[in-house]
Amino acid sequence: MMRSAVGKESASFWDRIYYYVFEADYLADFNRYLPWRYALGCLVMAAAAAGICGWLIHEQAYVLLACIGLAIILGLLWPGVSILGIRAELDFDRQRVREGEPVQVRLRIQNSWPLGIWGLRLRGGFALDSSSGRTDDCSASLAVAPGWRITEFAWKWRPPCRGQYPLTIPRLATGFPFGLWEASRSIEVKQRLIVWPTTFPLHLLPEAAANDRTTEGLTPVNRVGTSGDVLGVRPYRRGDPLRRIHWGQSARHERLIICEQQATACPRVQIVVDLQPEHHGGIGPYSSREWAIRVAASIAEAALRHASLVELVLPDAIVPYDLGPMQRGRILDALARAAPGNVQSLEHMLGQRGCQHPSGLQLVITTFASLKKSSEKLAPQRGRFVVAFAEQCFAGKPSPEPENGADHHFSRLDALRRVFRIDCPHHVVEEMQAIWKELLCAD
Amino acid sequence: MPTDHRADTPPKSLQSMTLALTALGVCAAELALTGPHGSSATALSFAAVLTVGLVVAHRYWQRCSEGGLCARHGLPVVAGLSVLSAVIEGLRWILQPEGLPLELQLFAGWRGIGLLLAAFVNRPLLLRIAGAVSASWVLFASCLVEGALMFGVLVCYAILGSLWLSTLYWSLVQRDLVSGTSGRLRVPVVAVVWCALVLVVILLGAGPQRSAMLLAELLPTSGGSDQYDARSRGGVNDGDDVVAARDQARSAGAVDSNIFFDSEERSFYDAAQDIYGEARKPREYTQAIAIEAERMRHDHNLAEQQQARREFALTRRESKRPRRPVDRYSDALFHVEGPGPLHIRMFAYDTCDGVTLRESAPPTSRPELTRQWGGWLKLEKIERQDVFAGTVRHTFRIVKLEARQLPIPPHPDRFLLGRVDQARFFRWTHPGILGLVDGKVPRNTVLHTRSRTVDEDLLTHWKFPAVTRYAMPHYREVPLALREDPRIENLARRIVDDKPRGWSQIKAVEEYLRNHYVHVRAAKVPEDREDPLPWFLFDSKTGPDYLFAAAACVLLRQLDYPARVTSGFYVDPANYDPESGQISVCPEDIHFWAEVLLPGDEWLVVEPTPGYEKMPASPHLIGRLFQLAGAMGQWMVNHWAAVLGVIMVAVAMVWQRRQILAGLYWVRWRLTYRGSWRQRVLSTLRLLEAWAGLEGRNRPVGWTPLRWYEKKLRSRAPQAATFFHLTSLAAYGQPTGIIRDEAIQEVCLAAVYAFRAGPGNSSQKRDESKASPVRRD
Repeated sequence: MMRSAVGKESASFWDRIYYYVFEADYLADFNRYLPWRYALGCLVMAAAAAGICGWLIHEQAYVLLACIGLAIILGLLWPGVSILGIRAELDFDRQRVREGEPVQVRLRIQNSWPLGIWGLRLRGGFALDSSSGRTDDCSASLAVAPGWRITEFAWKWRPPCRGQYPLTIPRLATGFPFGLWEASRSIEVKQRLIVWPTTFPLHLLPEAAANDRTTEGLTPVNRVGTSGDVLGVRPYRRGDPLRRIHWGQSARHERLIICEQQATACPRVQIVVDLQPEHHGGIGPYSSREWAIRVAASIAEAALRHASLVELVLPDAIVPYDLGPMQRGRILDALARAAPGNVQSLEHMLGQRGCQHPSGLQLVITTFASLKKSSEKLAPQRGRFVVAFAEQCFAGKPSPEPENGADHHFSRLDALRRVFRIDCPHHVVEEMQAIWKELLCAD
Repeated sequence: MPTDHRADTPPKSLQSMTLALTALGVCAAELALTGPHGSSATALSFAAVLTVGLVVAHRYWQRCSEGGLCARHGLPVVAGLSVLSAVIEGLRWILQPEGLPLELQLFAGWRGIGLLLAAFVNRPLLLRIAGAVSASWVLFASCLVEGALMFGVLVCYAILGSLWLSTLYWSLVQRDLVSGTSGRLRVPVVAVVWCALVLVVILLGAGPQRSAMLLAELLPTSGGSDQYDARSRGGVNDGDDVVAARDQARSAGAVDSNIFFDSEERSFYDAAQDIYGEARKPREYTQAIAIEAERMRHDHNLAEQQQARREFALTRRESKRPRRPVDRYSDALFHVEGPGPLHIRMFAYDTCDGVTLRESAPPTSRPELTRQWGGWLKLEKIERQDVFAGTVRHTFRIVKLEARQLPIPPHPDRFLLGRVDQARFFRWTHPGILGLVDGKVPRNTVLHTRSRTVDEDLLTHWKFPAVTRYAMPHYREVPLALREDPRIENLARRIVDDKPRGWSQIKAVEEYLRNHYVHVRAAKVPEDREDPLPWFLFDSKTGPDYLFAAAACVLLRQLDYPARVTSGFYVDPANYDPESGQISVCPEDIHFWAEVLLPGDEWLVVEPTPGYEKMPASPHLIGRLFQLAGAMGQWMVNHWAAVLGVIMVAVAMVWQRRQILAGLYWVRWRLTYRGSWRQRVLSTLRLLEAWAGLEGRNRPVGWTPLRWYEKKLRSRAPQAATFFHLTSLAAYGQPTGIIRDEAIQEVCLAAVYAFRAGPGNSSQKRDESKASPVRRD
């Protein structure tokens, strides 16, 4: 694909010539084997040419060979010797932070050599911002670590994605002076950083969360119940339980009178998150998988804010019901640490005992691809709602038509299966907030 | 780490360095195109013109790129000029028969294309290509041109190339530099330059030829092709077979094509006759009859009389043949490349009857020669004495020698004679003198030799074994006539006095003759004297070199040292021709000297004639370094005033480096303070940044100039506030009104003076509030 200046179809003839001569990569699969792609390879070729000229033509070319050889030896030895005297420690100024929020990274380097070490590069452990277009894993460079000193470097870093950082063991590398070969050494990580997923506000709590009337809680629910304070009386209606009949009033009024009571309920919200990589679309921080985690975190925060009992079910971890700020920390930590590897399928997760007949609200966050495979386990049930991502939209493909033929612009609810749909990668927050509003009224 | 072609625009420092590298490459290319006989000044001037053109083209292309123009404006120019360059070179090839050879035509075209590509070094890929192209020019040129200038260009290119590689790597590192750390390269530059200077000193001490040939120890140069080209130079492409390479010792003409013909040139003895005069037979020998060899009974001691071998009479008279004046260069017998002085043996005389020297019989044994890689023949010795230092290399170009003997220096280790690499072609013509079995050494032959040098310090401590174990008796035999003269024995004893037996005594004899006798080449033994040696030693005390040699030989034999007289050629360093880099040896360089035999058939040169020197010991590398250090120390002592002055100036410059650098930055600002108001403001900003950098207040990466001023510099230069606000406008904004040049000038100057004055100084202050750069209409 032509680059920016020639990206248009109407690129001039000379622009195209420049691209095909100087920029097009014809041997992309063989790049790693081509010596001229590497500085060391170029120097070795130059040395070979100088050697051949010196052998066949004039010994003065050997002077050039000696200089190139010296440069090669220096370029290979200096980094190796330099890195031997380095000890480095890494930590952060905080233990937890949100995606995109700046955190100060501190790197302490102890240089045991008398000479300074230049051109140190921090490699690995920190995810690169995908918009930079960089393919190397260098996240920071340090000009010089002076000799016989402990030097501390600090810089602000914005984590592009949730996770536990450093993701891998970071290494300190140097290729100074010529960049022919990089010698590296691992860095000791004193303290890891947990990056929570970003969340967005979801107001109130759906009624369905308070389906379980057996436990008292802190949330006032606008619904009469069978325990608590007496709210009022009314005439008996067929179906009312007999033990609620107020016999005194009934005798006075010569008809059956029922007492109504109200107590604060304890909503329960169970969040099941499907993180199977093959069912999600897109890569990087804006894939459907990451958005699913953010949605789960937002729902958990909203529920906990309303003093609900929240349980998080992940493929490799379960955070049992609890409430309060500690539970929030546990849930966000678990979401931050969600591993990208092969995980349990949604079917398997829903087959667990706690997920089969949930009390309260059960929100399943998944994709349509997973939904097709787990349709049996996802039978409509009171209190169960599904938020499904159209993973193909996140993978850059056009959105498929809704199966029930409904116009998804007006209603995202598949009334039969209680499935809500999110298919716009750029408006996930707005769509989820709209879904939440519909959920508020759902039964 | 693969090369990152997708880097942003390279930093300006890297672009400038690439241009400088290209300029050095152009210098090397022009030196190669001009050739060894052209003017270096013209070549460098043309290179300077091309460099200026390159810089102008680069600046123009940079402006075009900033203005949004793309490859469509540059590539047609590059393609067109490349084609034009090729057409011009092609036309020159056709129309100018005296022009450049074909390979140089192509090289000139390649240089043109490379220059055009180097104008676009603001593109990362083309910047790397420009670096590689300049390296190819330098490599090609180094194969064609030698000399101090080319060596200097090579060294400068090596240093600058190292810095370029380093800066290229640094430009990748700089992309992610953590804010707060400096991106400047300070100490590494000094370290790299220092290492390079040390290398240069070592190379200069070792010598470029020696250091280059150190790596090509066994590999000779080659050259020549089978195609004839009248434009050929120096044997790279063969010209006329005999003529083109005659004057260069290094040229290797094909042995097969040499023409053997009866020489009309004078033989060695003809030349000796011209120099020393005709032999004068002693009166008692005037009626001698030559006895046929077959009639003589074989007697080992009289072997020299069985064959009609040559003799050299010590009594001579003026030659009646007119000596025609000779041109040294055109009459050279051979040319020598390598260090001198040198004694080249041609004949050895092992017996002397007091009047005539008689040539040694050729040994019956064959030399033990082992073929080495590349055709070299190594002389194997059963026994090697530990009296030698390093080795020296020589190249001999035979022109008119017309002798069977090979002109090999003393103590040869190995040699290479053209393509003759079989031991069976060689034999001993005299003890210790190598020659061909059949025929004479052909003309235009190149002989490479490697020989060992004698370390007199080792020799002084070396114990001479009992002489009877290794030397033939005739090497110790004093002529009967001289044996009966007690003066010679007394003189010998007196010379050595109480010195221990060994080299000290031999050296004493040598020194005595050098210090107490006068060399007069034209001196002749009087006609009435039949005892040339006593006459020389006790009466005249002057004489030609053969009398010195004979006298030394007799004195040494008197002291029971095996000695002989040797004749040959003396390679005098005074005859060194700097243009050709060689010493031409002519018939006048005929010389006689004495030699002493060591075990293992090693004949040591004893030079008793004043005005002639022996080859000094060639030290090993460590010794050479010490010598160099000693020579440098001695030079510094001799020029102590200049050295002291330089040191003081250097110390002062280091001590005042900041002030000097500040001054240089100011000069640069004065030169670049032109153009639009933006350019002038940014040029002034660069000056202030440079000055602030000297104080350690660099602008951190990612900070705007205004932020930098407000956080770090406000206390230092409060009057520069307006200027720094102006930098924001110059760098990022669009002025809403008309910019007045005078106001810009005032603001810039006020900022410069504020920085130069420093904080707290009561300097001339300008009221910046009155100078409003933007007038709103």
